[in-house]
Amino acid sequence: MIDQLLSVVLDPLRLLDILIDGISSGAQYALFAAGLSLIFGIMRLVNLAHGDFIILAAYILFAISWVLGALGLPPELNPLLALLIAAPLLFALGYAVQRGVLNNTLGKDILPPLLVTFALSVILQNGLFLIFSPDTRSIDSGALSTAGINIGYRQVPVLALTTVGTALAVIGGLQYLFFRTALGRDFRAVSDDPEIAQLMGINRRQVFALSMGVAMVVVAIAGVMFGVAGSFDPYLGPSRLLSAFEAVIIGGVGSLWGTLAGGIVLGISEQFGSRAFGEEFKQISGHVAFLIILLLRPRGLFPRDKD
Amino acid sequence: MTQATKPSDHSSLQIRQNTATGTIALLVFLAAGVLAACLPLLGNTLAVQWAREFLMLLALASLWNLLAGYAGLVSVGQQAFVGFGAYAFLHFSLSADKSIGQDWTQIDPITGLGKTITLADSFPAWMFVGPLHPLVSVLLAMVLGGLLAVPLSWIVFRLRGPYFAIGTWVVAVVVQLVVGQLGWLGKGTGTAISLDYAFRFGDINAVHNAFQAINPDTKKVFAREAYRFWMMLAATMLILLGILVVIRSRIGLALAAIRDNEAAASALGVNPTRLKLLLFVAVGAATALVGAIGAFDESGLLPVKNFSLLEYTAFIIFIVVIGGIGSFEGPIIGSVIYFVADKVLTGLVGEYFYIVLGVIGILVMLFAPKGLWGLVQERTGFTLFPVRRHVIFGNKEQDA
Repeated sequence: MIDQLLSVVLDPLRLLDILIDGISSGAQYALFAAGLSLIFGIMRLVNLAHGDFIILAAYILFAISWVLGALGLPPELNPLLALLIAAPLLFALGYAVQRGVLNNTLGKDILPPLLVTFALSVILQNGLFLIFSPDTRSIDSGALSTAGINIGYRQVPVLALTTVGTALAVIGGLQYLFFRTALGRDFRAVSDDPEIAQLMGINRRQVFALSMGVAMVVVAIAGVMFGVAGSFDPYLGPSRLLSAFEAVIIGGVGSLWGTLAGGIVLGISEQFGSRAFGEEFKQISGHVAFLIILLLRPRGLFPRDKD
Repeated sequence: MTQATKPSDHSSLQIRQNTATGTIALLVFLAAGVLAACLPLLGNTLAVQWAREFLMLLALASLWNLLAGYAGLVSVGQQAFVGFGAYAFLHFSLSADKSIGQDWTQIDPITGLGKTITLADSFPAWMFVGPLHPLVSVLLAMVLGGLLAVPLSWIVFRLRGPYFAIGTWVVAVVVQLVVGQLGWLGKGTGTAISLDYAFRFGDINAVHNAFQAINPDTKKVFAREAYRFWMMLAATMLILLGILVVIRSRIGLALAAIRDNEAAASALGVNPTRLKLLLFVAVGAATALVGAIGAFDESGLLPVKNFSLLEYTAFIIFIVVIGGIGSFEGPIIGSVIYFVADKVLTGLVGEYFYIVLGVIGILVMLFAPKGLWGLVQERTGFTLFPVRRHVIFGNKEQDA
């Protein structure tokens, strides 16, 4: 084990591998986490069904591809085009769930939102299981899934670069929305003090519903990237949620760029663990890195001033 | 149980906690326990199995209710203790002795066939203290469960509210992954505890002989099942009585004070963190005990099964919420409803059961957040196991 560890640590190319693959999987975690971070920042709501919504988005993609195939069209999917269908669907779903159910659970007691989203998670998992069967699915995205760029000693998958680019764009976009738009001002107002915001004429329930809608658009993007990147089954939601949650905590609650950093820390830890100790240590390494950071810096790497 | 306060200026002032109904309910509860202990005499394997499953639900639900409903610690990671207890039990059932290598069977993930492994070949003999008697094993598992809760609390107690919930979940996943890496416990591919293990011990043989005296056809498997059922019954009764004692004691009063206003409670000398830590450790130990008893089973252990989030936490949460969180009666009612629904509805609607359960959970949370028992109490003010204290001024009674 020590030999394997040294052979990794002392080899610059293998360290570079860890960096490249860690950043690309970290970007994916950041995509999973951005929506979670957003709604927690705005309404202190932890959505335990977040991961299952990501999987739902991947299945919507799968369904679109299936319909294309059934219509006799080529089933290869342009992810951007799929997103045009999935994003409005998920926005509407998020808006409706927040308006119809989750708004009624927000308050001092943390139990109701946790339980309701937990129940949603169970419903989504079993719903997907009933509709799509427990089989593992994958999506044919044509050339995108196999293309690579040669950087001398190895290939970097185009998909990895796309994921990193998407994560940067999503977080930059959310940051812009949050600090430069009227809707973002409402988000910040209800986040700072929902009662005063209400007094100032902001419809809190409406703003909460819109923020969930926006978060679900991010979920759609994350789900599309996840669906294109690999295979999935109905029960993968909880582990996506955990990665997302860890990225948020590592980065510091409420900081979107921190979430990106958190995702990358997680990705690099997993890649390091998997290469230095063996594939079966991949998951543990990520979790252990999270726990160590939690013990050393309970408020994360980039904590917000107030919480 | 009538407690008199200090006879200062109100010599007639008394505090009354118990009621006549309370005494009757407690007696009925104890009688039910004694009656349940006679169940294996009917000789029906399915009845004993179902009763044991029900008891496990009841014990886990009551324990989770103590954590979440009374101490405000909404844990989504109790499956860590269930699985840890199960694997601790497995460990104590093992022996390194080559002559009894039969004790350990590793299940091949591809063929599903069992393969006997002699432990001393792969692991140092000093690691194996067993095979210990099942009763000793479950008690050791309980102690280890309590010890496990201490380092876990260092991590999760840094997180507040909803983050505590997901933090416990992460920690549970880590415990599962670590246990899944331990070679002598099957390394994530599953292990079975052989039937021979149980019958190494005189008292289980005696149980078998006694059953054979009633019905000569009684199988060894049934004797073991009955023995396990009795262990689960004893554990559940003790856990429930323990919870009742705790919530009716000064600790329960302190917890209620914390729930109402943590700052005010601290000012009155209650130490919330210490109290919550105490409960987290005690519940962890008791949960590991229940998990260990559940593992005394021929069908085998598998990390994904014995650390099931769905089975040992999600459904348990639904049980407590539907029955009524924050009351002693709630988990009992919830367990009965869930168990009946599970056995009846699963046959009728199959996988839709979980969706129905989720929908009911949401509806209860939205429209009756105190659960079914809460509805009963709101309407009637009736309580079976009284917890609240009433102050009596002479003849007049007031809620405290």
